[in-house]
Amino acid sequence: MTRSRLVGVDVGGTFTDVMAIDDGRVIAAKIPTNVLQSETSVLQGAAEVGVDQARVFNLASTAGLNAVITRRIPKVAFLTTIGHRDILDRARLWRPFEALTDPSWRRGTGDMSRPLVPRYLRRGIRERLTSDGRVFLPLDEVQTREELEVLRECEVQGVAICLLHSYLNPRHEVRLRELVHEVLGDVEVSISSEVSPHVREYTRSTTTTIDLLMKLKYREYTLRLEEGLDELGFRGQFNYADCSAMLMPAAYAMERPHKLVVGGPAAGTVACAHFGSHLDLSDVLCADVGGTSCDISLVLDGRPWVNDTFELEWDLVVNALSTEIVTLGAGGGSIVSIGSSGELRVGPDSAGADPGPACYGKGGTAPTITDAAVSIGVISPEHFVGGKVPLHAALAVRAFEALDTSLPLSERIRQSWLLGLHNISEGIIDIAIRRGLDVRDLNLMAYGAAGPMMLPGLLDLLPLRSVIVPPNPGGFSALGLVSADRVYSESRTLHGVLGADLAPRLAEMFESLEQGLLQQAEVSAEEATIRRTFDGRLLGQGWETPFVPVPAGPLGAKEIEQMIEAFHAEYEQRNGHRFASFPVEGVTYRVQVVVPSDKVKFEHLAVRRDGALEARATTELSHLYPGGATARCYERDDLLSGDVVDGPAIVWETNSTTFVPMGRSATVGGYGELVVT
Amino acid sequence: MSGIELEPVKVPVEGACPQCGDRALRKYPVLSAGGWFEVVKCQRCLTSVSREPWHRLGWIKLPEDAL
Amino acid sequence: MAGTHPAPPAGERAQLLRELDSAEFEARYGCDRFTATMLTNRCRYVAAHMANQVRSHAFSPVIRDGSDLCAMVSGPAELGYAMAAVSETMPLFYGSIPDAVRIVIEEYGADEMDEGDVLIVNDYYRVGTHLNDVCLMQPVFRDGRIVAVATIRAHFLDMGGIAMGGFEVVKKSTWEDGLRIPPTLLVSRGRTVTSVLKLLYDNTRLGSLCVPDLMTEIKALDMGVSLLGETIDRYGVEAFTGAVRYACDVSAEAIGEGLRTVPDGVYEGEDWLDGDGLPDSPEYSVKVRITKVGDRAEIDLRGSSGPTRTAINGAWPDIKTGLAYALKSLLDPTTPVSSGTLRNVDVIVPPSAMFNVGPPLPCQMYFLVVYTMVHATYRALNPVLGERAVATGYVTASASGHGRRPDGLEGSLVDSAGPAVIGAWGATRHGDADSSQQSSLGNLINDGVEIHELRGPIVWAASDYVPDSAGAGRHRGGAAIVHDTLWRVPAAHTMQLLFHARRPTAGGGVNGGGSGPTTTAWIFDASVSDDGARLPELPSTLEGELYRGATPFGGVVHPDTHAVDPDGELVVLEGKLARPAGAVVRVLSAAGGGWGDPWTRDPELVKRDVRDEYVSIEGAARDYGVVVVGDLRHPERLAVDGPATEELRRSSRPSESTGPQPDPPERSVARRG
Repeated sequence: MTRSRLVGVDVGGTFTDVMAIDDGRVIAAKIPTNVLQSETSVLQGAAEVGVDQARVFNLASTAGLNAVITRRIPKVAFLTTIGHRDILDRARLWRPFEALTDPSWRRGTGDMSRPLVPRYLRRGIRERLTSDGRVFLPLDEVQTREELEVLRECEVQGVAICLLHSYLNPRHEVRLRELVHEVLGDVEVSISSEVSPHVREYTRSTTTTIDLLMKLKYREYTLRLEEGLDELGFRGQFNYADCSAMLMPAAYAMERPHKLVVGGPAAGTVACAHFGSHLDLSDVLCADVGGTSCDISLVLDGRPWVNDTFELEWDLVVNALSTEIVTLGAGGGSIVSIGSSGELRVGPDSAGADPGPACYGKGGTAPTITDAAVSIGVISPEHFVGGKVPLHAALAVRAFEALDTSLPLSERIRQSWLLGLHNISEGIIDIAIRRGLDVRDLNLMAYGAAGPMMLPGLLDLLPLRSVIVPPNPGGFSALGLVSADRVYSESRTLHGVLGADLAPRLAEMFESLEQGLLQQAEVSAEEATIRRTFDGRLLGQGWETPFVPVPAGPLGAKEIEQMIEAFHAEYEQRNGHRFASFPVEGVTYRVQVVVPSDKVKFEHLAVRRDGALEARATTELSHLYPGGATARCYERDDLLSGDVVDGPAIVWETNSTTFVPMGRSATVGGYGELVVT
Repeated sequence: MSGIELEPVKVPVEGACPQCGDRALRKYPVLSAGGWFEVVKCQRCLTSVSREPWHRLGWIKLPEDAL
Repeated sequence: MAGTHPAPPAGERAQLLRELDSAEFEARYGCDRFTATMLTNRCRYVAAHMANQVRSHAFSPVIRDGSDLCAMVSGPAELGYAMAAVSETMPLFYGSIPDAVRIVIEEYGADEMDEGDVLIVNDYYRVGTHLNDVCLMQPVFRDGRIVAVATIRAHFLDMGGIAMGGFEVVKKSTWEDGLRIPPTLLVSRGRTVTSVLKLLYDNTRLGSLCVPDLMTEIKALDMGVSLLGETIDRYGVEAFTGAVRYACDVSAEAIGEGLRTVPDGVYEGEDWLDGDGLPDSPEYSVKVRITKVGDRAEIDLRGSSGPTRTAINGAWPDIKTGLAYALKSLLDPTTPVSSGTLRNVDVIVPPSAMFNVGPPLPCQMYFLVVYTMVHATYRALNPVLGERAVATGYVTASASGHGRRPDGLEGSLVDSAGPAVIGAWGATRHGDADSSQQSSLGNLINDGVEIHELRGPIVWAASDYVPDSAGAGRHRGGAAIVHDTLWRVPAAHTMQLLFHARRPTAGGGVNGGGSGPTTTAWIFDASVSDDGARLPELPSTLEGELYRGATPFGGVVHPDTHAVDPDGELVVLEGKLARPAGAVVRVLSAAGGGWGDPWTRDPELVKRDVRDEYVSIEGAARDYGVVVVGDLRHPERLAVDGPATEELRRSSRPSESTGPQPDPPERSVARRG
């Protein structure tokens, strides 16, 4: 039996989306997430889509993220250099905009709030390295054992270790891990020189602690999943998606699980990159509007735009390649309220899934964006999630009526809708500006359950080329999990001004990193693509320009010259200036071994040969347009390539609704995408 | 700063406060939103009877003011 | 009136913004409420976009990593260029920036300006703060007149003057501070005036690092001006102007409503700077006398000290920073700042004071004066605020070692703030305070230990919380921290900013809460590190004989033991202390004050503090009346002895210490150096 099926699973806080692809045929399932034991939801979904037929099974999960931000985490210890046990309490020191004049603000990760590790389990170890990696104070094993005795008595489940300057010299950390196992037995340990060997002790400490927590969260979880999948007859490869939605085989992932902490959101960006390649679009803005938020990300030159760190919450920074995502409180469940000066506000609070928007009839009384959509008539109760979830338009209207404002009802609803769109448009401008892009050159991919109903409205606020609604927008993110390659990556810090004399050291380092990764990937160099990059800076700068290309093959003086030139080019592209007279200092060197994976292929949609597109119905739109308007309603399955739908119009499909605003039109493209202009 | 300026003195002004009727009106320079003003204010309820822009840098004089 | 509508008479309750119906709103602002809200948000976003662009594209670490900048959006001439929005920044900018655009453009001449012009200015007598903070302003023109202005203020690493970087207390004049730039054309119709760039290169030390930042800022201004222009074209000048007025009215109303919650009356407070850094210095004080009626206040600063003899002075715009921060943090902590923030407040300013100097007096350390004003205002209002009183915390104090740097310049040998910006906050009614924060009006990003050590010849040996140092209270203040730095090269050491040690205002408790130690600094001989060969492992204690052999160089210490001693003598350093390699500098950063009576603190929280070594077992009994049994080698077996605690709290309660704290006495002064 040939197993050709590809399965992708995206475990969200509310729903688990399962997507199986077989010869271009899509089988989708949506399972409510069992938050405390999300593996049961995963297995249920896997069974529904026939995982026994699958060749690969790719999983993105926010279970780890949720555990950290709700602090449902095991008791762990943190060991560091003596004198510095409060690295985690101090964090980066700065505070957010809303706290600037608030004397009661406390750091969310601090001892006075919700620390990941309480102070008595953060202990200083007598040892010290200096900033050149040399031993200044040898590891004191007697004192270490005394400290470990305390942890043993406290029955910690794991130990995170981050010693100062260990990114240059792992010796003390490695020995300390041995001592931990001697005294505490078989507990999980993460050491910073392996997890994230990079300068800056705070982010290395948080990364190492998150890594430890993810090991404790995912090791058992993975075993249970592997067993469950085996029972379901699955014989293929089980991968996790990392924070940039690249795939890692499960066993490999368990060695560095901090990279898994937010897998899901990045998958949508990968789907955009992959679908964009079908449409010949290499630069795409990606906007995923779900229940609680709108996630905006970017595809440039056909690849997701990634950062070298990300933040789980204020100050909880993790060093890992991750798709840059700007999250705005403007989802379908974002709550509309009245501020102290009588102004309308949208978000950042969300009604979540429970009680959800007022129109769900589950006890929610605060109006939301979804309630505005129902009141306007964009969402029709009988077509919401294929009619499976009953909606109550009267409750939506009642929620708006209850707001404490003198605004007439129509204005409340219209303004809420527009304010949500304004918030999203500012997020898009922000991400474009940071990258030096002009939104006039960009197309926006609109997905997530609420994306297609809201985002075409952005065309009235931003001079975008178009808003594109892909096929199956409700499950589009999960498609990213069957659109990615397997990627093995490592990085090292090595400070030094780029020059010919550095070439032999760099060559040796790249060689050893690459051999190690190829071994882990169990492929030969010919079967994989090897990508080398470095993070560098102009001498004197305190920050790095990441991901500068490094030539393949042997490294000599000529290649170093190429690296310097590539740095200046990248710097100019990102920052708008070129400082060719400054020496360039290399800081971090990165290698990715990319092993091509099977991906979903999007199928062509037939062109209409005869007849004309017929609307299924019409509906009255209230509140949004002066004097009202009548929208034609279509079923997405009725659309064929080349069809044009003039707004105001509504396109229904099972897990989403597209709204084409007045004055706009949507053209159906060759892969079934709706291009709204 | 030459150091010879007088302290800001609250100079009594004839009249009654339009708000509370008190006759404690005084004239003096203040710094507030929008910069420096010479105000006539009721000392009882702090109502301003008049607010005229004062020197743009308050008490501070710059050599180039002579230009 | 900053072009905004005048405040109504005090006795009458004004119609609140939320009470306006649609017609009233439109009549007042020339646009509907939605448009005003949306355009106000737009102004905030444009400010944020500009700041983000500078932050993500700047060259110098102080902006890129430290985030020492802000961006703002101001309205048209007829509103006095009122500021509608300011980006994420340090509150130290909050008072001076709202007026800066009006002062600068009115002086330069709006008629002299064209589209694409950018002005540069850093003169503190005009726009406040210190010379390092350079402002760039670019107007938006429509129909030949200015309808909005985009501004960016960011830190220049060096502005010339006698001290590299500027941070030197003992300066006699503004010319020793550095290059003072009046409103000057930097970009003319889109073209940079290169002669101005050359002026900067030729008069500052690090022009090659800083001028690229200016170019980045100009680009960010262009972007901001273009976004503002698009917005104004779309909604019209009238609506935009209305929205600027609305934004200002929102801030004014919020402070006014906050003031309304304070009983009418007259409240006085005073706070002190230890001295000006020179020998035989008097204390310098800021006196505030607040008359509060209804939703407005008049703050009289007469009676405050005159200018100091050094760079610890501030110019008039920063008066508003101190008062705006103090009032907002006590009465209205979350409404965004705008030009309307102090509309309901008039300030009576003496013609010459350390917060109101003119040429030739220098202002590098203006922020020390600002903190003194904040604390004076807290002392005036805290007693009447009841449970809303806020305990104070640490104020920036920085030890630095000087010598010849690898780049050939004379100056500080470490290019990063390191421990200087880390200290405790005071507690509030909402709970305990953090120990590692930075001074309340600052908001820099901390580089951390490893970067600090890479940027200078030092080992940051420890930053440890001192048990029992936090101001006790029902809610506990943050702990004092001992920051130890081992110097691996010879250096001349000084303590730059330690001027709030003589009196325990910084770190003062409220509502019966206690105070902890004030900031203190010592230098230990190279023998504690075997001449730099060994990590000094100084105990994290304030007691015992540890300090006898050390040289105190800031703070108030016992004359013989050199230990922290509130009744001891103030140390004044004359010149710098030259020390060989291996010297160890210890700075104790002040603790935060407690909130409320410590004898009412939840015993379980006291036990948690013992477990976490914020409080010792002895301290728990002495300071909180809580008997904790067990020992720290078994942290999870620690327990509260309930009956013993009840008995202790009943029998030996310390004398009631509620009500306003008396002004502490002055102390004697010892000189070092």
